[in-house]
Amino acid sequence: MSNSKVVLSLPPAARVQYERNYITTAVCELKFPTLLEYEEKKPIPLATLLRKDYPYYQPERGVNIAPGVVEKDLVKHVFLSRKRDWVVSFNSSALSLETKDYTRFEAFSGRLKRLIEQTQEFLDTDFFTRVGLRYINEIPMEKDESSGGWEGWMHPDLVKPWVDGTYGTVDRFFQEVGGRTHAGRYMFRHGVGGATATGGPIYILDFDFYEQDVAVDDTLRLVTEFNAVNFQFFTWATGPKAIARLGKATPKEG
Amino acid sequence: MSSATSTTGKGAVFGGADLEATPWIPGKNLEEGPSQEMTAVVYGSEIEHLLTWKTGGEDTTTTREYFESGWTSIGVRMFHIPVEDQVKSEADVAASERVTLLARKYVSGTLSPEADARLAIATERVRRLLPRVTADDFEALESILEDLDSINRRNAERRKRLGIEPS
Repeated sequence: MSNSKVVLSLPPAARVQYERNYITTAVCELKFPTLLEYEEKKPIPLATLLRKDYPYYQPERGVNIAPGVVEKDLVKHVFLSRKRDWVVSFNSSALSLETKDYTRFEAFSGRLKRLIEQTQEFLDTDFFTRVGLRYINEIPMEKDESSGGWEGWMHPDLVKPWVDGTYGTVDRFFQEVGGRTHAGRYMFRHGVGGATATGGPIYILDFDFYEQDVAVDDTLRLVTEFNAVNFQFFTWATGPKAIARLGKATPKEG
Repeated sequence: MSSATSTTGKGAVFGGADLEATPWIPGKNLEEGPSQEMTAVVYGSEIEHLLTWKTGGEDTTTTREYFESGWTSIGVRMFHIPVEDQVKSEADVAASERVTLLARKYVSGTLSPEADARLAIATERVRRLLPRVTADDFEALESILEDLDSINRRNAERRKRLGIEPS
């Protein structure tokens, strides 16, 4: 077997903007060399920098529960936008921008650009140890009226044994794939993750693109590339029924 | 309380601890999200369609996952509630909601105004439906008072009969 690494190979997809999307969570996480002082104290300078764009502050304490271990006080500082639809989270080694109300990449990258500019001095670094962009899509499926099955919603290669009944009635169906793209690495998770009000399955497409050791100045370019790969990946992974639900496709410029 | 404490096998996905899950609605405000699954109580339920995986250092972590210490739990969680558990009393439901909200408050240290209001309402309903002093308790107290009165009367009669003046 050859040692050469082969990257993700997807068919090209026309660059379009749909009217809707299935994204329930979009997050970009920037990891940086640990700021040890903020393992203990509050990031007051950061709060001051973000106060206009993210006026609501919410310190959060996490709990880690594992067999024999209950660890409290995992502090993360959460800043929310005025409408609470954008969230900036900070801990001593990571800063992330997240939304559950994703509309289009330009809005997301605009926020990210501003966040990087606002925080670069505070983070005191010219590189990020890791940059990740993740989209979690939730696609509600409907039974095909003629066949009574779930075909047409996802790429057949992803779901064939489930859709054609090979597995029977499944309690759990998901898959995790990790690999490389031309712009970094990816982790792709997909599977049935819930049910709609009418009992149809909700299919999860969870795309995570990341790269390590990224210069701050390269971050936006990289995230934009991640987004482009994500669109190709999403287009490949979904079937015509899922795409039809997205509404009118408007060609994107550039 | 009816069958409030039964644990489902799939609760163990949260590290084997005695934890159970409550439905989470995707897209809800983050204030409603973190740690909800880790702290809630479920009544004898079977979790269906649960998509859960372990995330680690190689993943882009969402705020929600951070509070779940690396467990990614995505999608609407569907519960099959056994019929016998669907007839829980109003008091059980109110108490369960109160426990959930209190647990969330404990974990995150704060609640949204909406969740805070829900906690206050649940607390009031619990107070009304499950008062610390019930009618039975009052009846028992009345009975004790009657006994005391009776004892006092008998004591007074004995003192009078024996010519002992009360001190």
